[in-house]
Amino acid sequence: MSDALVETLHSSLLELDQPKTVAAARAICSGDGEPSAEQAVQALAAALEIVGQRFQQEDWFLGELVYAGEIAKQAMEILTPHLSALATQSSGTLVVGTVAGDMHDLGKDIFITYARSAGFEIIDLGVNVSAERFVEATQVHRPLALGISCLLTICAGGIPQVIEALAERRLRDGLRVIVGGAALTAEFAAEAGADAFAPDAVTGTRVIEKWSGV
Amino acid sequence: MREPVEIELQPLGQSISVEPGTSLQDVLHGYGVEFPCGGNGRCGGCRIKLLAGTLAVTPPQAQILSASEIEQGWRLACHCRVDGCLTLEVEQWDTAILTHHASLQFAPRPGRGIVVDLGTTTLVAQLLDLQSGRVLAVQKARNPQAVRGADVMSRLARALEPGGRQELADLIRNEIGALLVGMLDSAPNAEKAIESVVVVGNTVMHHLFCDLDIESLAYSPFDSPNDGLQEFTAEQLGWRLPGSPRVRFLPGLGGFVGADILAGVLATSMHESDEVVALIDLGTNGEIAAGNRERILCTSTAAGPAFEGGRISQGMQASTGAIAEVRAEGGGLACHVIGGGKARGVCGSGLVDAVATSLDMRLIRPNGRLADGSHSLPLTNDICLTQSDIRELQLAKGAISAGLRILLARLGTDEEQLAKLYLAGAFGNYVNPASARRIGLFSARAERVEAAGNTALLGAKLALFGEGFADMRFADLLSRIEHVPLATDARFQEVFIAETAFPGPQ
Repeated sequence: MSDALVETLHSSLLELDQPKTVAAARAICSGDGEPSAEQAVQALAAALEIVGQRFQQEDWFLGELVYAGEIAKQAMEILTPHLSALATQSSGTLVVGTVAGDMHDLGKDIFITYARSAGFEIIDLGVNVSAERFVEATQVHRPLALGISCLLTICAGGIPQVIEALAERRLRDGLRVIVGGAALTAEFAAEAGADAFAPDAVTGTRVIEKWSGV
Repeated sequence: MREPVEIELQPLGQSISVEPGTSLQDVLHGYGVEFPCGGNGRCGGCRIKLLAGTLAVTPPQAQILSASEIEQGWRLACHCRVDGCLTLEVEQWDTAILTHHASLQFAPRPGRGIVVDLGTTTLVAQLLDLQSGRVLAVQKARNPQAVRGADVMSRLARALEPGGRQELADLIRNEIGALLVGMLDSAPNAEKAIESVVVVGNTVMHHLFCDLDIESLAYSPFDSPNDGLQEFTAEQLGWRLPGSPRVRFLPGLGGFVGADILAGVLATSMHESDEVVALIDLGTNGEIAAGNRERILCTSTAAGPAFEGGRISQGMQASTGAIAEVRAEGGGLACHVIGGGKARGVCGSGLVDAVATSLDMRLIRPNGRLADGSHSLPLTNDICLTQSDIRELQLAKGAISAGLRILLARLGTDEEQLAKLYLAGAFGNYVNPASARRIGLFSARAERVEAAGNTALLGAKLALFGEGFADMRFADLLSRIEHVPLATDARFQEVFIAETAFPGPQ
């Protein structure tokens, strides 16, 4: 059994060594099933957890956060076909978008990378998403949670509008709403009627994992 | 302690009292003297004329000024310290415009005119003699709208509230009206007619001053159909000016890029240049224009206020008590404090210097992390930079340098080939270009980087004096300028992330 390969996958992601991480993922897939792709995915998730801690502790910044997410994504693409049917089952569906009037997608996209790595299926509505489009997507996809991003203070008023529109269509019950972005605070999120505030992509992913019971 | 000494400023007719040994740079900036190279004795832009008293001629002055100029009393304000009572002539017109704009179609005409640079933070007005081109008086004030938020987005939010738009329009019109009356009173012949008033500012300032619908600027795609030339009579604005002049707010260029950048294009002659040149104007917003006589692209970036000391834990504006310069000395960091007293905080130029110096000393890694693993970098006993402050600067500089790279790429060129990079606004006056380059704000070769001072005010003067701009609509020029919204550029995000890092060891 070659736990060394899993260890390499984990450590090379934390060294932001893309070739080495990808090579380790390939080696695991072409092996005899020991270590398994599932073990590899767990190692990646554990490494991303550490990436998140480093970001929160200010050791790392956006560049490392985005790059680590990108490397993990590439490794996941290699590993996914080798996962058992049980393991490929989605942890849940998330509908994600940036609020109306706001064109910023950076924070939203980092969140999506991390949530996908955690096994969630993402419906990305893009930027400048109207309340109506959030409602429609919720009706169609019946997601576990709705994620709304907002960078501009002036657009933050759009968030309670989305949540009210969901309530009007009786879609709010059983749906969790998480919001994040530079314009927002935990207080604002609570006042707007959201279930959670994500100060960063990693924390946000952890909140959703809790909701899905992963 | 020695007795304070008096400095009399002509033609302003004002007197100020300072401690002996005070640097003229610290004092005169508030009176309209510009320091294009940041006070390094390189450009000669801050020249003043000594009418009475003595000021020593230091070696940098002897290099820039000719013997006959020195004989006539010319000095560089950036290299003078006050020793005794003085009378100075501090008009800037001759040096700032005529020497750099030999091609200006200057048509002398009788009368007087006024230009106003309406900044998000600061207002500057100049009274000009249209016959001689001389600056007769200068006035500065804070933008009173600042009580409703420091940046344009919070002003917009206020304007969208009931009664907010009217309040902001009244605030700014009343303040400028009072500023102009005060300026006229400070100059001789206060009753002499004013022919024309030219106002420049960013698009939000334009709309709030002109009391226009701002809904289109508050939401995506952030482009207003009403950013053209706006004309008023002085009476319409409630201004009591002799001669009842027309007041014109010059047209904007699209999005948040306003008449101040149109003025910047005029001031740098970008629209007449054969080669591609670029202008970065770092105020509360960061705007960039790049191009040549054929085509000009412009954009605004969400750089945030870090370059003005905003969102920095111990940040402050460039005023008394601010650490404005930092350099390596004896293995540590040495700080220059404006006014010479105890440091109260750090302003944008000090922040850029501190990070640039720390990168050289390997106190900060290229990824922005403090090398010792701590979360703060002491600058003095009381003032330090936190890790978050460095992150703020990374975001701000990443936005600007990514914007510049994308504009140049669209023009089919890059910084390496750029013929000239003009730095305006806060930059021109304060930020050390070498430090700005060290943190990776730009990579253009040092000899091609030029501090351009307040290009908004310079350009407004060119519009006021220029013969070909009679209608002030700039239709031909505007047809060659294209606004690029960075949010919709597919590459912006990737370039921005890459540009948040600092350049490696040099």
